[in-house]
Amino acid sequence: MRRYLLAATAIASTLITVPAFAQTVTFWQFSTNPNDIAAWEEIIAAFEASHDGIDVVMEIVPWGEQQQRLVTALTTGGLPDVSMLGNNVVAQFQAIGALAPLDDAFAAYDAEQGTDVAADIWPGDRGYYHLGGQWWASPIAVETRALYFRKDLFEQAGLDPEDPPETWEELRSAAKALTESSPDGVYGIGLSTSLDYFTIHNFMSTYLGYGARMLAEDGNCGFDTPEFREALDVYTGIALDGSTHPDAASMDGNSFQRGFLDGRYAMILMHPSLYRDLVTEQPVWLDQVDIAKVPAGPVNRSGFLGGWPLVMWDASDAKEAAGQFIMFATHGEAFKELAVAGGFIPGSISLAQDEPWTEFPYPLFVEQLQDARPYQYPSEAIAQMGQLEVDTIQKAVQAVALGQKGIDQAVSDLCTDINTVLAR
Amino acid sequence: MTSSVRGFFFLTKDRLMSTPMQERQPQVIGKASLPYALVGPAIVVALAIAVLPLLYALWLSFQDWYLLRNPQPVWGGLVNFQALLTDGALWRAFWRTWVWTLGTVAVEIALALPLALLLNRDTIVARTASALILLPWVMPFIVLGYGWRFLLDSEVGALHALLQVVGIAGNSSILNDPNLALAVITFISGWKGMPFMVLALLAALKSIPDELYEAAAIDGASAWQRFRSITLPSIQNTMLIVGLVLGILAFYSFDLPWIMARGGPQDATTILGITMFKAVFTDLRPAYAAAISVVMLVILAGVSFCVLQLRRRE
Repeated sequence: MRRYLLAATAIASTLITVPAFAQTVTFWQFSTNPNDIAAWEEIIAAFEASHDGIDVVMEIVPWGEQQQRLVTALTTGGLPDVSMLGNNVVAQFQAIGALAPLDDAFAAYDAEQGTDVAADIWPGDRGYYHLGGQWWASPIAVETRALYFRKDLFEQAGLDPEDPPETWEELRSAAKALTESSPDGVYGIGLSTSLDYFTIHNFMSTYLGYGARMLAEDGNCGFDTPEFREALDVYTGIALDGSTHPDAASMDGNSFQRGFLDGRYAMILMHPSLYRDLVTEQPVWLDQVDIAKVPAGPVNRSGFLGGWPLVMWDASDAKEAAGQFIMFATHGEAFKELAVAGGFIPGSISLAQDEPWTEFPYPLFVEQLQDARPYQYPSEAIAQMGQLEVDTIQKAVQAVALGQKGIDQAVSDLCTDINTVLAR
Repeated sequence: MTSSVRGFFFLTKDRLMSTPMQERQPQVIGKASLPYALVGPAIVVALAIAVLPLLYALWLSFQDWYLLRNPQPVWGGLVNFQALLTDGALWRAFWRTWVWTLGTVAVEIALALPLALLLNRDTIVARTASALILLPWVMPFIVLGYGWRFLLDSEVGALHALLQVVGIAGNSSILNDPNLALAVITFISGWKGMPFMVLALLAALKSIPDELYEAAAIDGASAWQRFRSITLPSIQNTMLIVGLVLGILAFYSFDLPWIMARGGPQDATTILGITMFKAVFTDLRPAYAAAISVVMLVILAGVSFCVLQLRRRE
């Protein structure tokens, strides 16, 4: 009898010590940078300490593999509860019905913290994440590109280092002059024309600046216009002038970034974390680096609007806990530390207006964000964007830059491809 | 053999020889079922890893599953096969895949045959080279792909410099040339597969009796005549079968053109493996990709059958 009593006591004490609603939240994190991983581990530890009974299990899924992993998990099972996601594909997964709305999580966080998190999201991000009247993502980072340039190389080329290119035409001329005045192997600008995201990230500023739009009023391809042709001409002209690396048609953004750090380019359109890398590597010409806004077109100045949020997958059976983790990880002090470690601009406006984002080089990027727009501006986000940006627009740029097609042929083929995808 | 085992063996043998049929029945059934029991696990494994996925792909090819329209697969009948017939980009990739496949096998034979003839000689160089020849075969695609990219880089690539001197490459890497990119990656694919062909041909060469060459030499046959009349007929079967196997591997390729050029520039190196990959992960059309794979399977089965028939006839 005594033995039974002891066993019952042991079981009861175990049940009491284990929280009644113990849950595990699986989280796919896409950065492989050790500093980012360490910062995420700290956020998770802080969340677990303040949310008894919820365990967060982080799995690293590199950015380059995330689409394959997510689509595979979507079709065969095994999606996480929470993951990061590129802002441009939120609409795609929302259209599939794979995401869960975050309105309840937003409301619960606001009620608890006395905040208005939806009002604190950048206007551009709203277009990506607020679909069909509901919130589907909570932003971590927001990103735009600005023009890094080397003042010493500008002087060497006879250009005014205090007057960086204001327009795309000026950028093209400056890139040519800089290439001609630089030693062999140093180019005017690191600008890609390959089938890599770096191409669309840069080129979208050109076509939006020229007033071109991806989607016409009827929802079909809107690129078959003189504005888009001019934009394509000026962008690919930089490569055809020989003002960028001769292998630009097959190089990716990382190679160009590495090249700028190695002193191979006089200019590059890049995100703020490049400055963090410059400070880390301390090249001898570091004090000669300055940053200007992205060049404008004849119609406007449009910055690239990138970013990545956290999303909750509809297959999650721990939605409440997942929602709590998302809100914790994208707001507050722990999140601020993550953003500082990652060198990115936070997706929360109020945070981005505070230190350290008030120090060089961030204010220019924060200002640039006011002009940052999505690829399909002024249209609403569409589910097919993931397909269109990879396989259509970049292909047109590459074809013209390689001299395979003329502008008219490339634009005609581009619109055929876009309309084929939209009609599926 | 231990005494107990030996005793069991004789006992069984005696019983088999002396007992009537009815008494032997259980033993016969056991003996008859033994082969099935031995083959069974292999069949189960084969079913699990080959036949079931194949059946799933076949089933999937008849579904209408474009994730943006149908989050779950629904019966679509021949919808994917109809779409496939009118997909111009797919057919361009299809013909490109044949160029790639035949080119790869041609390079494999062209490189492997002289090497196998060289290694068939019993010299110290041949013995050393036999081990080194395997290097491309055992090298992972990712290492090999980036290694060749480095060699072809327009600024630091030694091979690019050489190609520039002979006038094949310009300022830019030939990987940016839509006409040359496929040719150069096909060559690299053949170079990677070459060791397998070398080993197979070497084995075939070793099996040719020396007497044949001695008799031919006495008859005054030249080296070329000996090669054409003795060597080639003796190894052509091996060449055909190994060429078929390597050709099938090449037809299903994905890695090398993806690592080296992502299927580009433009679609210059987009072969069917890359088209299928994009159909699933970029276009979100897994059922369409399954239909492509079914068509690939049927075509390859047909070609393999024809090649084997050709071999039998010869």
